[in-house]
Amino acid sequence: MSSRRSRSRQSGVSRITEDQIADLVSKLQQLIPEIRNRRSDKVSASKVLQETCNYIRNLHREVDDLSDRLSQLLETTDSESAQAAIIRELTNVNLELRCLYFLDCYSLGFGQYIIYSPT
Amino acid sequence: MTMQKFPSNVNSVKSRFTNRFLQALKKMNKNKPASPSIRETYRRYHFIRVASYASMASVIRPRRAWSYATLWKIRNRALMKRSSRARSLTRNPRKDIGFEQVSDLRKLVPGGEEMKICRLLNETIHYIKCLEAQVEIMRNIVDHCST
Repeated sequence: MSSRRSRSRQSGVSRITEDQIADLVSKLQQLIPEIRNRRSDKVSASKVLQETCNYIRNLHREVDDLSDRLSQLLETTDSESAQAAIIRELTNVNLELRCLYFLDCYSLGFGQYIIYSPT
Repeated sequence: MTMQKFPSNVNSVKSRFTNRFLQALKKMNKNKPASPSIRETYRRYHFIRVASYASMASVIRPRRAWSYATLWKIRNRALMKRSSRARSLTRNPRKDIGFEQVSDLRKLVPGGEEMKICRLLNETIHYIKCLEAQVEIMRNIVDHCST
């Protein structure tokens, strides 16, 4: 009898988990541009996971490529323009951050609690 | 423990990432050697790459398993360089429900080795969004610097 009880409890737990998994897989489906553009509802979960892996690998490769280009850009002896661009960008971002900080302080409701550290 | 939605504030994350990443680049530029060698080029590339991942992970901070795992890995790698290289212990791989792609995903998402599948999918969604933001900002910076 205890085995029957444990079995029913197990099936109950696994049912909830399967629903959660299906929900998360559908959310993933919306993120991956490969699948999102195809607009077919019947995409198997394994396909979604496969495309997710490919997409993450692509993103990693893009980060590598962009790091490479950045290192070359900053390496040239006359990279004064690049350095100036960075400093300009930094000041812009600082201003933006300060504005965002004030905006968020006013716009956030009571339910949210986001901790900022304005630099 | 409530699963936090992303983005609770996309622009804030993007701005904070940009800030930290650019600070790291500025710091790197200060110690410029006189003659650039191939080794130096590789070191810069490696530094920039690690700085981009570290900046994003530190903006998210230990709120997410993947960011915690990324920061932990980076710090451990820095520590391990000083001491002798210790072999990583191979733990028992987690048994998965069905798909073999899940094991691939576990290797791609930092910290995904030992999670339950539900948490792994949740982390993946957040991780992909942050990665996209990281790539977008890096591309902006490269475009900025090239002009």
